[in-house]
Amino acid sequence: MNKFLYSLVILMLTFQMNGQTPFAEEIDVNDFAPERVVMPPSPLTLQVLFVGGYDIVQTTDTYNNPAGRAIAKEWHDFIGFTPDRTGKSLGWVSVNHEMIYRDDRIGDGGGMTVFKVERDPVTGLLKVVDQTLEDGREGKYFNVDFVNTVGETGMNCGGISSTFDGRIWTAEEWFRTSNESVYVGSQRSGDGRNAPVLPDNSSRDNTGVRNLSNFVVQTDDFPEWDGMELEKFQNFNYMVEIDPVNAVALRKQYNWGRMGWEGGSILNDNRTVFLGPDNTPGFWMRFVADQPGDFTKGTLSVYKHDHPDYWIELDNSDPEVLLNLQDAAIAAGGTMYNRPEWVAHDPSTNLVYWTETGRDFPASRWADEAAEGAVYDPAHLARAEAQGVSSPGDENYRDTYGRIWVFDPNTNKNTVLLEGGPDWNDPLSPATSNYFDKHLSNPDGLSVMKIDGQSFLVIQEDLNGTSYGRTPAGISNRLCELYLLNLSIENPTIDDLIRITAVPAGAEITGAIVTPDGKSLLINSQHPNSNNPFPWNHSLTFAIHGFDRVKVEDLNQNAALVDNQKKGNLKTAELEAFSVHPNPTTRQIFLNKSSDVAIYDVRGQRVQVARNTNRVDVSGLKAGAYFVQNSEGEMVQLIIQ
Amino acid sequence: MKNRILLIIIVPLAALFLNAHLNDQKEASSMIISQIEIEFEENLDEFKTQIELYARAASNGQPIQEIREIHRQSRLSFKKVEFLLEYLDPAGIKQRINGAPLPKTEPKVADLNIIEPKGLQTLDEILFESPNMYDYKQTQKLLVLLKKDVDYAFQFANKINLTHQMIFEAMRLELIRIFTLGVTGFDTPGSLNALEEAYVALHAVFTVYQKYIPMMKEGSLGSETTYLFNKGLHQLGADVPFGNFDRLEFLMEVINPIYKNILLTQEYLQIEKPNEVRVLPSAISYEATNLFSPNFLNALYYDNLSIDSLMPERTELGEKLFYDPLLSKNLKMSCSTCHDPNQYFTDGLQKSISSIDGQTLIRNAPTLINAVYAEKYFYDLREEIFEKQIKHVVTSHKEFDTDYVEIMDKLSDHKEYNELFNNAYPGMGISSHSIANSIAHYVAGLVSFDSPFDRFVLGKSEHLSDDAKTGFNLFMGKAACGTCHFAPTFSGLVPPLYQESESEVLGIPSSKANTAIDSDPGRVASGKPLDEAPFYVHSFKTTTVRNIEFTGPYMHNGVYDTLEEVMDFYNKGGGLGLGLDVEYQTLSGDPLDLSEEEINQLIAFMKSLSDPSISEKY
Repeated sequence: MNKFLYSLVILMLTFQMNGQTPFAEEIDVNDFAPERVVMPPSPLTLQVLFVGGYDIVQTTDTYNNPAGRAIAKEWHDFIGFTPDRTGKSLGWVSVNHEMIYRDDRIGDGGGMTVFKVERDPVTGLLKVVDQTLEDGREGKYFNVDFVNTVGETGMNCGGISSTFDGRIWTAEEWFRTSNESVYVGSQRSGDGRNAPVLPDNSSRDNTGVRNLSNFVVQTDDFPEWDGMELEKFQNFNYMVEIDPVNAVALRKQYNWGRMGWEGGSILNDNRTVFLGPDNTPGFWMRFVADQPGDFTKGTLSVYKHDHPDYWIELDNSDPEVLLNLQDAAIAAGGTMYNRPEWVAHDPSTNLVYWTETGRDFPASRWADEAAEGAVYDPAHLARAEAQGVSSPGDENYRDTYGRIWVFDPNTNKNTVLLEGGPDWNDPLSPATSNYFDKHLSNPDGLSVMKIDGQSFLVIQEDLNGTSYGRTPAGISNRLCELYLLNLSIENPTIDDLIRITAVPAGAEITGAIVTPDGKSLLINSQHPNSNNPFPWNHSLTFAIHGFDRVKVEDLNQNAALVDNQKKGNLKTAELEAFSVHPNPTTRQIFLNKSSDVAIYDVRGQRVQVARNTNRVDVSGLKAGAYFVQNSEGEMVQLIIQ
Repeated sequence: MKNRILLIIIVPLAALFLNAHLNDQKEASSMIISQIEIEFEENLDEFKTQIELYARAASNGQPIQEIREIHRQSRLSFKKVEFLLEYLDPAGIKQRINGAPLPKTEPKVADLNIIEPKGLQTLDEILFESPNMYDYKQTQKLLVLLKKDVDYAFQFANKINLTHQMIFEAMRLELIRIFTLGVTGFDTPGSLNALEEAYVALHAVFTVYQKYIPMMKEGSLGSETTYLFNKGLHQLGADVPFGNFDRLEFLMEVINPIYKNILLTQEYLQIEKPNEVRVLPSAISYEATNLFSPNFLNALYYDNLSIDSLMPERTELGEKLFYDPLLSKNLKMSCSTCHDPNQYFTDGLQKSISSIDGQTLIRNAPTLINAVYAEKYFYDLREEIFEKQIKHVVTSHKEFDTDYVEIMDKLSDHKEYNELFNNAYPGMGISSHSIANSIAHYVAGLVSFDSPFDRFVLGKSEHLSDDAKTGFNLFMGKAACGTCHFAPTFSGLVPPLYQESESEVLGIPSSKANTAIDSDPGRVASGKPLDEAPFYVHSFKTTTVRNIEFTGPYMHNGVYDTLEEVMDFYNKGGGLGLGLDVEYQTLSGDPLDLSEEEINQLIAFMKSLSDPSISEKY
């Protein structure tokens, strides 16, 4: 009996208890003649293309300063890519600056920088090429002239990079409600009170927009707007088309209305545009051009899931409607979302994907609008019910992690593709020890790319906070990840996300877009707050090369386990000797069975410990020889190349 | 923490059967974790039940004395779980359960959304605002929310598999928290029930620590640490009034030695440290053994500089640039114009001079000593990246009045600079980055934790005047200075994570006449949309008290010339206490009732924070 209980207890301890294998700080590596596993270098390599606050842009005559040079702005966000149809180069890269900064030569507010790249046929690297523009500017990097064309822009966050022909729009997220708030330092507030403005002899004259005089619209595209005198702040918050070849802005898209736009996407018909405004409530918006390619004329609608037609047209011939588009969307009873962000579509299926980044407690932001007739999406209603609160307008309603949606233009149905999380309030969610690799929080940037002929969604997080499991226990810095998701997976789960570690530590990554040849992913890294060596401590645009060499199976989460499962060998795998399977692409090692593991360097010093896991991220380890030890004391030598 | 119920049965059973049989370290190690997890869950459960009782009592409108008693019990039950709960979700706890009773703006959203304060600290303030009444409607409202939030936290905490590494790091953070936020009264703004709460919090850490003692077979570390814990509990439990508690003794005899011994225990048990489980650096250097060690904070976390063999060359170049007026358009102004090493890197002026004749800048020049230890820089907290501070000076029309391109062109004309830049930044030479980065290297090195007070706390010196000792106790207690000027930087860098810089609304007047508030809008005009809230009007960064003796005049506008004037301002309750209209003052408007002697003792303490060697060192 004693023996029986004893073995029961051992069994319980082994399988139920939170095992904690102690690992010696130092081992004698000569005691082992272990199995040796080699992790080849990643097929993915990095190249820096454009460093904010460092590279020099060519400027136009601006604010009475002659054309010249200036240090580029920072806070890189969206990237647009315009293929070179002539084939002489790869194309033009357009980079958003999501900031408000006063600059005598570049112009105030946010802005954009454009440059042209070609691929070296031998090395495969990209080269930023010298250009001479129509206006005579010569150099590598060019400031997009907004000041002398359509007026300053602010907080250029997302945008549209048309997969049809590479036309580029930048989105102005910086929603402003008064001229004082454009000048900065005086802002609407909860109680409507204005704060004092800094005196003119301020030492701080590097923010805001200097020219607050009324903006007179001059346009042939929108007759209703031509000659209109806008208060300066009303000339912000549009989608703005630019010409990346000549580095000038073409038009503020007044006919799409004024909202805190974040992202958009143009379908294969080159007529239909879907748009995401970053707001709570944010509406799912659509513009359909009368003629393909002419986006100056067409219809503007707001999505309403519970209407037989799904889309309610808003009068976009009336500037008053367009200047107050949010009010029109509410009055139309549109379907409300919690901060729609980027929009991307898969040209091979024409399905539209978009991110709803979420905010922790949205109630106060959309309860009034619900009372005025706007409606909640059924997904939010169902979430509220599951949380035991009366509606998404209940002050206890939580929407911490956000989600990714898929919209089918044929059926007009919006469906949740992938819910953020896991939500640790859900009884079914796993223990958080697994969160580091597998937690999707506040998806933001989004695009579609083909790898090995298969469409993948490229997902970039932009964490709203670090609470509620968005970062693992013990980490209070924001940690934003880049994920790939294979779009052939039906009903994907968080577990299907593939984490790409080839990004600078601590950076917020955004703007990911694939080059037309499918070889490189261009990415922006915003203000990485760590001790990365220059230039990885700056806002920068970089390329991850080598996606043409990646096969779908290279991105498998655990090839060895999957393989064993296929063969029906799972049980054997649990019992067999400890083995380690490196994935050079994702820089992880997979263990054939879950365990605590310690990694020792070549001198036998413990350098990394992970617990209760079957995968370890080793992207932080330099090339060299290591020893991986599991709970049973079994050892494998790992050579990282 | 799965199968909790089974474990509750199994573990004691297992203990019974296994004691004789198992010496295996692994089993013992797992057993400790399971015991800690079970007790944590029990304590969480108690906290949850207590909050439910509290919410019910409030909704029944029970009399104030009863509510206060339930509040006290609820906070004590929180203190039992605080160190693990805070470790697991610091942001969530701060946001909803026990954050400072101040409004915040919601981060990462395009619109301005004000989040009203909630949680136990806010309740603590509400319940003790006046002697015989409280805002019961607000209390009820907050408790409805708190009940939900505690439920939520309970779910979360139960999902996490604790590790020894987490537990040890959490214990050490709690010691910092007890000293900086607990016994100072920061955490109990209304009730000031700080010592009893600190007792419970320290006891909770002790309870967990004790579980490890059987694993330490040799040596006296376990028993020594037990003695220290008991000593601390004795000091806290001695029923001393809040104002009389000897915080210096507690720091030196309890907090620092335990902080050190927990690390030694972790090393003895060969438990992995934070750098083995995560890549990103922490603000605290885990290896430091004393809150006042020069290496307690990790400068590299703040300065964002890359570790490189060329750091000396970069620092040397930065020093040369720091003193070179070539950087300014009029060739008259350098960094040292306002940050003079002979004046502790200030200029001694009320407001710094402008490059425009006859004008001044709008603010006083703060010292650069220890400036690196901050989340955000400038009085209005407008810059988040250390090395980018210089850009503000470069482009300001009142300061260098130029841009990097002009500076680069000027430097390129000097052979010496070309060489220095090429040596320090091979392959790059003169660039906006190398200019800013080298100056940042120099300024990041302007650090000092070597004042007479530091030396005394570290045991390097026996000498500290009685006035300074009493002054420290006042600073960290009755005078409530330490609840904004947090130890050990004595600035607004918030413990125990030291990742956030605070600003405060004090109601600073425009002149010594104390008749009108200074018109400078402060943080609200930082240019950051998140700061555009009414409660950031006249809000300024909480600067360091270190070397304060030599860095006058004081306040963002240099309005006061002497520390006596400054202390008088605080003693009266800041702007509100002076009768000025300060809508969102974060400093209590009530007088501190400090006697002249106490003020002198406070000043004696502050003067003990001066490092006299600074002018020789730099």
